[in-house]
Amino acid sequence: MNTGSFERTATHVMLVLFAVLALAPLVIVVLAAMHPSGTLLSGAGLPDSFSLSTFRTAWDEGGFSQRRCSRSRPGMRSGRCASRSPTCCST
Amino acid sequence: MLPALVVFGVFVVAPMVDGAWISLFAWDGVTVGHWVGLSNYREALVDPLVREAFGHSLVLVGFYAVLPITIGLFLTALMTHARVRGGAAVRTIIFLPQVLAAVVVGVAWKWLYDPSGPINSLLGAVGLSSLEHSWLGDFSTALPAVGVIGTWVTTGLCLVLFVAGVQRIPLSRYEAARVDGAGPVREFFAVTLPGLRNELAVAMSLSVITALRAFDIIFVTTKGGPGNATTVPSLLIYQRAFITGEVGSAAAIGAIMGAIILLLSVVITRVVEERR
Repeated sequence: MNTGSFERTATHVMLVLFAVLALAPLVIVVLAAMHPSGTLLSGAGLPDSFSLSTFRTAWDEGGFSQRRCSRSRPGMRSGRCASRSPTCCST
Repeated sequence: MLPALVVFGVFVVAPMVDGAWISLFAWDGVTVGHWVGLSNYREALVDPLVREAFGHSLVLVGFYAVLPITIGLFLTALMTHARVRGGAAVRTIIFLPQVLAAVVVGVAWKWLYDPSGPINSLLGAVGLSSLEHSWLGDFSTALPAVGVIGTWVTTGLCLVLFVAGVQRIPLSRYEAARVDGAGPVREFFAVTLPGLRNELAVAMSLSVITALRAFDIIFVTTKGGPGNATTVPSLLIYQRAFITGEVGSAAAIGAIMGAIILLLSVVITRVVEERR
């Protein structure tokens, strides 16, 4: 391996290392969010079964579906919103 | 010009003047305050807790400014010297923490630092169980642990600034340096670093200001604890203004902090301009 390719490889390794360091906390947190609701979390392991229930709970508790309806333009009736949450689009 | 001046006056100057005015009163935020002159400032300057808080801010400058700038320069030098593929992807990934809300960052890192969290379990997995402990609960590690979060967040900003700056440096300078036999280190100090003077000033100003006014991440992760190990001036201002009802004292600390930030910004700008 000549110096040029060694330098290039070393550079790649360093950049990947820093990218992993930057990304790891986010990946660990997203993986933690994939655990089923109520699971006792410890460590950084993969969940036994991937679950989106925590995202569903956050979506519901944040009231995002209602906000999406209330933001729709006047005069444009959203049938989907109306059918899923009748209270949000009654006006 | 006039509309801009009006907006600036109403939203910037007026609150500052109001804050400075409040700092001259002993006021609990509810009842009528009484005039105390500069005694809030005198008390703030001799209060050991306030001094300790500013000391912590100084430590955080190392983590929020010095480390990210050093890492940013190092990565910029790597990317510049060997024009690698995927550099843009790396830049994007490292910049990612910047776009996250500070509260989200704080919650995420609080879980990472948890005694039964990922960092301790990773240490245990690689045979370093002796290093496992409560990172945010230990007096000696709480402040550096919070500082590392700042480094993680701020590095992306510095890197993006430096990479943008490097693209303005003519390639002919690098070619000339290489013809003269300069290696990667010499090339960095002779071409890259002088060419990044403006970006360095911007990065330094922004990151120092971020360090000095750090609040959200500390509030979410430690609330200034354990004890006062991670208390910073912003947190003191919040506690005094909204918890202990010492609004005048909080305003005085705010004015002192504002003056220090202004002074540092001026010094950084002057130093850069003088070396130009």
